[in-house]
Amino acid sequence: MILSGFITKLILLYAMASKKELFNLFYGESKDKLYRLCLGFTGNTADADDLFQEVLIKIWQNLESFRKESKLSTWAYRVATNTAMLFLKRRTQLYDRQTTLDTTVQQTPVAPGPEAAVQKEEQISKLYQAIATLKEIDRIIISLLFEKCSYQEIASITGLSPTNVGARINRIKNSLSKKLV
Amino acid sequence: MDRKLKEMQAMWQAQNVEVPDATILVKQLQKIDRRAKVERYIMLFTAPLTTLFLLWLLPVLESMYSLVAVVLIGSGMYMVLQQADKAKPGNLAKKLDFSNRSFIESQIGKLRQLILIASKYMWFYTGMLIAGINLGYIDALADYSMETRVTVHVSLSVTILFFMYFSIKKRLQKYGREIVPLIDRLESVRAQLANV
Repeated sequence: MILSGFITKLILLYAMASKKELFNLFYGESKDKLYRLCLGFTGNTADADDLFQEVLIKIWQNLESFRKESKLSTWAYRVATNTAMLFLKRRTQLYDRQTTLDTTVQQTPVAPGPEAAVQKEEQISKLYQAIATLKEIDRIIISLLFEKCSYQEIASITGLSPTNVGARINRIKNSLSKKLV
Repeated sequence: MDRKLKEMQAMWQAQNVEVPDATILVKQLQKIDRRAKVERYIMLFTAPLTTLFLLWLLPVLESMYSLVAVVLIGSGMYMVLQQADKAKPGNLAKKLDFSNRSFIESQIGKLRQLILIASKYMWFYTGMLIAGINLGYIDALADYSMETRVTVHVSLSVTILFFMYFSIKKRLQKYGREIVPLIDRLESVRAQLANV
């Protein structure tokens, strides 16, 4: 019994060592969080899709270094936010002449129903657009906070001190509140 | 977290997320891995193979000029190939698991280094290549008249110089379009990290 448990553990460890398996595990756990982060960073689904794809490529390329890390999500957020900072400039260059209509968050189609549901979709869309207008670091901080990261985690991802993160969150909250009125 | 932030967080989490299936994605990523591996092998073998070819072509055991030529061309080519590999966009940001602050610092340094390589070191490599090729031709042209030898050496040098001048110019123009604005953007993010 003990031996079979040990063998199962060995098999699992071997499976985990495979890049593909590790990626699938990561993908299942973090895809939604990372996509929201991409959407908050870009403010529109077309760019978010591209950024999300690029983030996944970078995660794949950096998977070996993850093995040394203790927390999967912190590691993934670092890779994602650093990728986003390089990505944004390229998109900005490509879409310099883009009209304002294209920079909106594409709303998920809502079936005709209660007015409240439609209103809620609009509010969500407004929130993501408002976040996308913040400065890059502020976008990262607020997205991480909304993904339930602690101040300590946000500090470790951004390289700021936890006190600084707290001060910035307060400022971002005020800025978002004004934008969402 | 206060009430307002909690409300915003609830809205954030309520966003509908539709992401692609991982199976196709993993296949594509594995393909990228294979391609990168092939590129690495090509890089690894191009310089030694060309050096071997030159060793076979030139009388290195009989002439010191030929030996120095092969050494110069081989090392110059290896350096150029290495720099070209570093300049690939995919290789620029391979290590991404630092904090944003450390990542930005390292990226700015790397990007500046790239511009420096193109604007300064590439000329050094050009000099090595010209010297190497001309040395290699000394023995090969020994039986010809002085005028012919001078003409061949000058023509070769001018051709390489022109070729390198235009490729360096083209690379610097590309960097001006892509890398300089990226450095500016990263500098602005660095400033955001510095200001409370």
